[in-house]
Amino acid sequence: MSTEVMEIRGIRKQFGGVRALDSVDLELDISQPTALIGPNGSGKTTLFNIISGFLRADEGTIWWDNQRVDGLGPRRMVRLGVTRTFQQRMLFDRATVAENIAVAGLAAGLTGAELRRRVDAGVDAFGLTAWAGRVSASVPFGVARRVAVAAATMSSPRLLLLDEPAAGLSDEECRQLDSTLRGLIDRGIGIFLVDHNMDFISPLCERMVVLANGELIADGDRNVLKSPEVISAYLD
Amino acid sequence: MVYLAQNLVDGITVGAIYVLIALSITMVFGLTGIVNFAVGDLLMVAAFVVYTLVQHGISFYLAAAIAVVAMAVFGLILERVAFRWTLTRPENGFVVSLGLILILEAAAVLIWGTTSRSVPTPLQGSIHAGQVIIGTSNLAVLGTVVVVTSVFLTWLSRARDGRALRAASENREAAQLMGVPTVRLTMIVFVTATALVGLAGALVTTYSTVQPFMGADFLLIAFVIAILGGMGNVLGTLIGGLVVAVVQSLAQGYLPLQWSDGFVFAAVVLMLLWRPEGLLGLRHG
Amino acid sequence: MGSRWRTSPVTGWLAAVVIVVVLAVALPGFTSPGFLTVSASLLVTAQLVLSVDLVFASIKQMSLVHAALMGIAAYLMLGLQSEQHWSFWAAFGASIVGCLVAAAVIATFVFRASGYYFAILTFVISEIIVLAFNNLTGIAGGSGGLFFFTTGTLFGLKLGSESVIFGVICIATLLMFGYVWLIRRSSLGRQASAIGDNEALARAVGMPVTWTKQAIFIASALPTGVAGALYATSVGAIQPSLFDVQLGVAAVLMALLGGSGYMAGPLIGAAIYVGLPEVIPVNPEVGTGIVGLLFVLLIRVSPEGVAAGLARLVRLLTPRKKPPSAETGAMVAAPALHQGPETNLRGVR
Repeated sequence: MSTEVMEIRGIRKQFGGVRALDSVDLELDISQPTALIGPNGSGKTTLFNIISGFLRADEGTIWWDNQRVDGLGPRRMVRLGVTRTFQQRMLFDRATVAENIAVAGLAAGLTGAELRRRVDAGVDAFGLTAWAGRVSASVPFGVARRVAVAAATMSSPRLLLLDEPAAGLSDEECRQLDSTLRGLIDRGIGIFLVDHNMDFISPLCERMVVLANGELIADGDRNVLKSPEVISAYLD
Repeated sequence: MVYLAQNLVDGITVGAIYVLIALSITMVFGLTGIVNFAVGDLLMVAAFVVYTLVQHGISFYLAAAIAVVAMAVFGLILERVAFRWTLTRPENGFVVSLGLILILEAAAVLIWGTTSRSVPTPLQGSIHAGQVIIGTSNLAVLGTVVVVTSVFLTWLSRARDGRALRAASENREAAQLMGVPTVRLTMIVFVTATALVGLAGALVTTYSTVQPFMGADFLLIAFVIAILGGMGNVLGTLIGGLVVAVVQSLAQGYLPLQWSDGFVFAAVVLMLLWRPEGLLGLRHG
Repeated sequence: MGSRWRTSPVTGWLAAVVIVVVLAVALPGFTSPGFLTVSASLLVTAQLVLSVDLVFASIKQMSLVHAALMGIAAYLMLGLQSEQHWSFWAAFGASIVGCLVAAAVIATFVFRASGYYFAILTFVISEIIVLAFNNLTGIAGGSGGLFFFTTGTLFGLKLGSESVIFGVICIATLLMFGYVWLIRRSSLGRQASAIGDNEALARAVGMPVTWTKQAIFIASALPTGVAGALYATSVGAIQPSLFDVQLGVAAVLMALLGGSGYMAGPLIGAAIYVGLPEVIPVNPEVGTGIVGLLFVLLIRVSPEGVAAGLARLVRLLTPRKKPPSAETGAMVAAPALHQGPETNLRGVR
């Protein structure tokens, strides 16, 4: 398991007059599952968008794999091993669950028997066997979540950015997602996730990073949640 | 210079009519996403209505007014009967408009035959501005369009329905997230759109003959203007109309005839590549 | 829906066969020249619609330029034979290559626009191409058009003969439909459909979106080129106005009417647009009016196209037990959705 680090330096992003991110410095170690937490509107999704290449930062750099990756589009980032999922329900609605996962594999360059094998493995790992032939638009939200994460794994990412993967999930589904993510972590895949569900995040992530008003106000283990700065950020 | 000015004068009159049609296209598309290819034929119907009324001794002005009202009513009927159900799938509205073209042209041929008819213009004569000749009829057309457009713009920015319409059509993304437009707004937009085209049809009779297939000539340029201005954007359409009138006049004045249209098209291609949303484009929420 | 993406051929082909049979019976005599001309025209048109729908059903862009691309193939076909004295097959190959090259050139810049603007851009490009046909009097016969009657043989059969050409067109149609079927199932076709479904997600999973759009567009030019070359051969005389936007628009209409995404859609659409006016026994003006009325009624009755309507009909008439996890085209059997806290990104669908 190699230690790989993504260096995020001085990221600033403004939308009109609103400063979404203000000089964010962060080192992501893929051997350490990390959670990004913070009140609503603190800039978490914006940070995700910038890291994954969907948005350009106004200032700052991101280093990954010994190269600067800020400003590269989503496709390049996926090729470099950085894949993200979305907060909203984002699927290929008209396709079946299996096809959703397969298409992600096709995009990653998988074909033929290898593709089929990986798709079956993905369906199995995420508990989607009963849903595989269903049209995605008709599957429940919790299932859709898992499909999205399964599809994201098809590109064999080294760093997975998960935006609220547990939102809307029942306790049982959360447990399933937890065990699946642990499986990914065991395989050396870095997890960087945003979520509000502390019961879900705590057991999974050793490291917590807190974002408030576009600034990183805390970075440590679970105990940061008890620190005064964090508590006041949530109360404001 | 005189040549240029003369060209511009002639071009702007025709351009004014194109603008009416373009407004019709852009309003309907802005609200509903429906591309109404039948506007040319609706113009044709209005022109024939004017012709028939004038044939029966009614004064041109009255005939024009009746044509506009008749088209507005027709628009109401069309919305209810043919287009309302396409709001959830606007591409089918496109299909319906194509079917409508065939129906209207067939009906026109059956009622009036294929020979070109002309309507005696109520205004003759011309005025001279330096060496440039401006037909009184052209002035009247231009004047009418200016007045009508001003009234329309005022309505769009003051009246409650007008503002709702403008808001919905200029911000289609937000409008889409809110779902299908209300029946009331849809009815209003169709009535307004057909009335505008009806007026255009009446005005066209002052300088052109009328025949069942005349609609096609207006379709392309009207669409070019609507797109140039940014589909759904009323102000953009007006500016687009001006730009196209100027460009077309220049092209017709200085390039061999067969290339002048091509010049306008090429200019549109370049513009779309540079600014794919149109000159003013749709504002995104 | 499954049926839109991986089209289920059975009901579609059934529909197509029914239509072809009905037309064959309705038209006066199978071997009469009238039938051959109309059928040849129908099949060639179906190939054009097939091309347009390959692009529309996948990436959801309406191309109005395929008719002009067909014209390029047609002009190359007749022009190279009559002016440059190329052989039939050399000209055929060159027409297709020319069509593909033109499509490639257009593809380099046309995807800067999207949605409605894409359609307009293709509209304008089409007009420019037709203008070029009209004005390049040295190469194409100018607005007078071009004519050439093919000589030469194919396996001993005279290519100039109408029935031989018709045979070639039939075989070409089968091959082109097979080609499109393969493309749709291929990696390219599946990725293109994904783009049309959710472009942002396609990017997020690492798909090369622009390149895929370009590739599917160029791939769609093959049936167009074949259609153009064979059409030109069968009629022997062409003019620029044949390939203008009116045909381009008609092709989209046929795709929508027949049923976008269905293999039989282009055949049904072409049959309605090309075949129907021939079959209605009234004078031409009334005929066109009735056809227009039919468009409006058909699309009302079956908004997803006639092929979809027929497929639904067949499903209704042949009830079978389906296991719950099998691919269902309809969402009727799905359990009640419970939406998460976030709303669906694309709002009302």
